[in-house]
Amino acid sequence: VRQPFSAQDKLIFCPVYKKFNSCFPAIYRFRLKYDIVRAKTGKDVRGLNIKKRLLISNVLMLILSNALCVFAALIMYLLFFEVFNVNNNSSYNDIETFARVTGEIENTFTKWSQNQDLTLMKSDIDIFNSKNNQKYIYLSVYENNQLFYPTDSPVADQNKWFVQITGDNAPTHSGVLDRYAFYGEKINNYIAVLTCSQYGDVNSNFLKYRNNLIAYGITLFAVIIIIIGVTNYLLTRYILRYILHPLEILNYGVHQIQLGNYDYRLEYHRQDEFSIVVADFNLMAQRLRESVERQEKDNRTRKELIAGISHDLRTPLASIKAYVEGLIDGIATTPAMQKHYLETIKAKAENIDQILDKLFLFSKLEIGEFPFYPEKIDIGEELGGFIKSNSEEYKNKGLLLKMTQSINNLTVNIDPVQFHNVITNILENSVKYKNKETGSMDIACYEKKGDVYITLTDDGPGVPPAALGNIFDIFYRNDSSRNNPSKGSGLGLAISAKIIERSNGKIHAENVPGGGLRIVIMLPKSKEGGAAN
Amino acid sequence: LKKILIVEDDNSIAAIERDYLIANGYNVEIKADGKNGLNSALMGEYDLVLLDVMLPVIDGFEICRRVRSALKIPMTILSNLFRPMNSWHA
Repeated sequence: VRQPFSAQDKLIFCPVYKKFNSCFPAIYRFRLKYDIVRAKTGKDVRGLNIKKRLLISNVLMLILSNALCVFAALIMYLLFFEVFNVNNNSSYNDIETFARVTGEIENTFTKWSQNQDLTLMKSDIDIFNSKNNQKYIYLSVYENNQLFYPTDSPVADQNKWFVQITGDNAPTHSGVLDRYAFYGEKINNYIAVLTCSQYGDVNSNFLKYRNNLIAYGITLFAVIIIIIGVTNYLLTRYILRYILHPLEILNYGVHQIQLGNYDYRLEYHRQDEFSIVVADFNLMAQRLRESVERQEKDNRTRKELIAGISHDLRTPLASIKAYVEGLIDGIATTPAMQKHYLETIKAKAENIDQILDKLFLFSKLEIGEFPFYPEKIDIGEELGGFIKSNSEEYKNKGLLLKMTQSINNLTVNIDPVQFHNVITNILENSVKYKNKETGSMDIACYEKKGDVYITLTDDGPGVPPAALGNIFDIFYRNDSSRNNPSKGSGLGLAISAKIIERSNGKIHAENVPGGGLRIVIMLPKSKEGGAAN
Repeated sequence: LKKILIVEDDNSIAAIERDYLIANGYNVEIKADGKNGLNSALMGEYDLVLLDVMLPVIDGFEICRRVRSALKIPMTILSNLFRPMNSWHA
């Protein structure tokens, strides 16, 4: 059940949340809908199912890791080639720069050759050098192979050999030696030489660039691996949470069942693939419990049955043995006594025979092998006839039969012989347990809600309320004594119940206020038109 | 003549017990339920009490216990409930 003020509820009072909701009413309505369902049912219906989660996770894995990789590549490119690489002057002293500067100086040289003003020339040289010494390019002017200006040229020594080969034969000339590049031009009787002291450094720049590129590649590879790993880990954890949690719950539940705790039920409130499994698990546990209980009850019944059979057969057998021994020992001295002994033995043997017959009948009824020959019988007529022909016999046994209510022209489908057995068993039961000299048995038959009801009410001692449900169990006797074979075998009512059950009816017992037991039999009315068949 | 009380609710068993005892020269009385049996035994007129275990109203063990607490008369429990627990209990 949801707590009245959870963290989520407190969020409602947050101004940012309010602002967000007022800006996106569609999202707010969407959330509100699920909040209401959640509050009503306690179920988080907003929860995605695992299939959807997996899909989202996979898509995120693709998009997120790719986006992160591109972003990382950009950031690293900037770091590698723009921030750390401050000494990279390759753009200033490569071949292209020297060629460009050489082209640019051409105008100055033309100007000098037209207007030979030494002061102007010197100032031009100073301006050029101050402008280009950052690029390691120097302009020097020679007169008759001697350095004319600037007198302190840093490349004077390197220029010497070049100046000598530049002359009338080669008015413009260029050359490269080691890391120095030269461009010379003869202007009137002066030789101007343009020198680059870092020429060819482009090679080392390329190497540096290549090394940078390799380092960049390796680092980028490592970063991509880390990004994919971390994204994978986080997204997998996001999914696993929704799989491992229910698995743990299931695992625990299965363990509980294994330990024999069939009352254990799983609690799982999410709506996803696992909720079906959990529901089925709970159903299975319930079925298992029912089956175990049924098995235990069957075992108990079987034990009671065996104990009952052994006791009920042993009691008359003990009598027979005692009387036979009495005859052998000569206890019965007179012929009358001997006759009485033999009669007792016969009666006890018959008693055993009866018990075995009943037991046989009961077991056949129980396994459903007993043949039934149901007929359509008029129930009022049948009961009336039974009472008429048996009331004299029961009067002698001390039970007065009386038909208090009857119905006409109502038929039920039942085997008449077995129906007589049912009634006889109930009457015998009353005879055995009556606590008066003469008891009475009121028999009534009526129709209610389309079924036929037969009630047999005696005025005997009744049955303790707790035992009412047990009197139709085999060998049940509400009697502290089992030693009294005259009080029945405990099979009669069990057989009656089985016969009624087989005839699609119901039987139960209730106590009558003021003393007495009432057995109520319900039988379904046979369908109309059945008589024609 | 020694007097013996039989407390037994099965008529045929009680009768054969009685016949044996009479044949051997004892005076016998039979009670068919635990309550009457207990009352008779407590009167102290008997030299021996033969008890059944499963009796209506009060069982044989209970009769034995109650008589023992009041009187010193020999009692024998007869039963066809052959269970070790019952013999030990007796």
